[in-house]
Amino acid sequence: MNARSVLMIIAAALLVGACATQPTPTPTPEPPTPTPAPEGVITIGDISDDPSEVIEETQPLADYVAARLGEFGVGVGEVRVAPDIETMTEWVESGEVDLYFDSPYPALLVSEGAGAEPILRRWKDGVEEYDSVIFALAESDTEALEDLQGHLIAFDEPYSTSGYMLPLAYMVEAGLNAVEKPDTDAETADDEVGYVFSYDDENSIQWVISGLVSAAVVDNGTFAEIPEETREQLTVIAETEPLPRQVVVVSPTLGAEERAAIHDILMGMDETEGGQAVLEAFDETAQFDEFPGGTEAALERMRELYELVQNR
Amino acid sequence: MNTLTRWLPGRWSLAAKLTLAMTTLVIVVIVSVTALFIGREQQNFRAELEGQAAILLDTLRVTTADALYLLDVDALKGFTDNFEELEQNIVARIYDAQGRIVADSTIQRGLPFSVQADPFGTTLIESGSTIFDWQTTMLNAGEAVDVGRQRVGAVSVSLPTTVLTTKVENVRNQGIVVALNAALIGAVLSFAVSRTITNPLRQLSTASARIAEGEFSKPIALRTRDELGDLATAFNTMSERLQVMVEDLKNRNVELQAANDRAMQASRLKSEFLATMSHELRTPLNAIIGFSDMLLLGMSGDMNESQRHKVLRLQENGKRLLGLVNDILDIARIEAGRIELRNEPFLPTQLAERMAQQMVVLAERENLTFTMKIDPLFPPLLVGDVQHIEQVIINLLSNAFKFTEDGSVSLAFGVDATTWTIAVKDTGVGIPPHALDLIFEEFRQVDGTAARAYRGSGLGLAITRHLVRVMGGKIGVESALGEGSTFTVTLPLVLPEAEPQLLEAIKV
Repeated sequence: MNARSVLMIIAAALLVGACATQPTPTPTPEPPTPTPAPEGVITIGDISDDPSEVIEETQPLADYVAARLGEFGVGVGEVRVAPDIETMTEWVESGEVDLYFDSPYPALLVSEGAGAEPILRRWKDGVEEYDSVIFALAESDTEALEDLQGHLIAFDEPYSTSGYMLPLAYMVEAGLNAVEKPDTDAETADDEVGYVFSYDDENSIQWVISGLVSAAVVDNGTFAEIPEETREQLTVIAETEPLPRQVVVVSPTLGAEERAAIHDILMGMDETEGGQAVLEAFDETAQFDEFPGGTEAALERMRELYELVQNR
Repeated sequence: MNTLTRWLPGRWSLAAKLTLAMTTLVIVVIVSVTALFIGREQQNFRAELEGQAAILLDTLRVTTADALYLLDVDALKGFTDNFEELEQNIVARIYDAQGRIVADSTIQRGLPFSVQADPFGTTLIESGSTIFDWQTTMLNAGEAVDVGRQRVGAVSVSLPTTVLTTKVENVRNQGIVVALNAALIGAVLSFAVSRTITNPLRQLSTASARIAEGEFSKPIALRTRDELGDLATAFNTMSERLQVMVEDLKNRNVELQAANDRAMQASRLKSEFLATMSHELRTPLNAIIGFSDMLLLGMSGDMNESQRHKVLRLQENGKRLLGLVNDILDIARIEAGRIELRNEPFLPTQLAERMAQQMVVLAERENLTFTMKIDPLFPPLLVGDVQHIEQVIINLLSNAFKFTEDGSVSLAFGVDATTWTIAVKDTGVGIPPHALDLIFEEFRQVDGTAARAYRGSGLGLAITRHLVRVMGGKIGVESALGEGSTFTVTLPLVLPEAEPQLLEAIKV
């Protein structure tokens, strides 16, 4: 593990060095201004334990947006990586982070905590929405959600949308009594469904296969990537409604005009060649768009689910 | 050894056989040594590779224990990915508590997510010790991973055995080269050594051939002091002695040849003397007989009875003497090889009638009965020397009448598929058994008394037997003392090719 980390660090350092010394084809500020560059900063934030990778992927977008906010005195784009939700909430609330991208559940957590506002949908990995697949071994007796009573299910992590909030809300709506358990050895009462966090979708899949849990949940994209031979030996117990793949949250410290300008910049990115290149570098994002059915309607359903999880 | 020699072709030279045996021995030794060396190298390498595998397993077991306990497959994949980066084709696998593969360094992206347990993984989980499983190209080694008293999984590494294979191939190839070189050198050396044996043997063989052809002059020149040298010395000694013996034999042969020549000369001179003497004797005897005939016919005047009796005695003794001279002349001719056969067609019936006419007169004079019998199947025409056949019959009949006081004499002609016979039977004095084999020898009769009593030279049967043999036949006698004798002559049956026309011609 240590050797691998060292390798990764060296690789990242080499890549960062390469990026710093070579001109990046994107983004190119357009059009060049004859006046001195403004010194204002626009900051994009993310939560990760791998900051190098995040900064490498996000910096082009920060530069792209900054280059288009000159009228607001902005000339520099920055990326900041927070270790957890709480920190990010503070940064967004204080304006240290202007833009924050994440899946619906953490985005709602941050926006609720920071008084921020989701404004757009992000097609991360080229996907506009995703859902959660709850599955078990085909050879087991678990065929429906009700069969999970008295058994364990593996969730991803506490801030995961598809691996926690969405399936948990779905189970609560189904009337199941979901109770968190410390580990896979914990006892589960017959009138409850125990859940444990595997902290990784791959762990969740393996735990089902190895019999540590009766079922697990992953997003539909991850489920599709399970080798076909293995997938054929799994059975899908339930599949939830889809949610936006990611949400764009803006800091409440930004003025309405600047927020609108950012809205327009992001919305128009996929229409220019330079914008598409930046999107591609930014986790293969296909585009930014409005929430289907309007922002309020989308936020309302997301908040319902959020509150089901928060208030149970 | 017998089994080995049975497979060696007999026509191979001794040198070839020795060379083959030595070369085979060298190859067998080299191959055996190489095989032993390869075996030892394989053992050493296997131990070395198993040691490497054990170290890797220990490292992997210690580092993966916590992740296996938590079944953190992402972390486990990180461990196996390290092996993938080693670029030594070492494969690492990690198994869950049921033996399923949960991380595999050969999988570039993602995880195996195998639902079924791996057989090797199951074996590791069930076994408490390190397992080494040698395959053709890989060494699979693995052991279970325990945390406290809980078995949380297992780890395995697969190390390629290509280094071993390459090393074994190198040793084998070197062994082949060494074996070929050694075989070549062994073949040359063994051929050279075998030549030191076969060359003297070849000289001995050549010398034997020379001696077989009678050439003793060249002794074998061998300078070796071994057994072959001793053999050559003994051979030369034998050759010298043989030479002396052959020379002696040659001398004796020359002497014998000279003696033989002298004997032949003496025999020829004897025959010539006999012939000449016979001729010279017959001339005055014919004169005596002729003049006695003239006296008896009264051509010189009448004679009184006493004179007539003396002249008759003179004539009889003259005729006996002439007969004796003729017999001696015949014997002399036969011994000198001067008998010439005149084989030509003749009528057996004419011959028989002529014999009968002569014998009837003789039988009346001797007061005996004479009968003649001819086989009805007897051929009308035969080929043979009729004069000598007639002489044989007369000799036998003369003997029969001579030794028969009373009774009868008979002549019978018989025939079968390939021979014809003349049988002369009498009721005379007979021949004792001990004399049956002697009567055909010259100048032999049963005894001197008989010879004097019955007169005769004792040459008749000897001449008869000689003539019969000359004609390709044989003669035999059956006799009982006081009851008579039967002489049988058997001659080859020779028929003329164009019998009918020839028969007519002869009759005319």
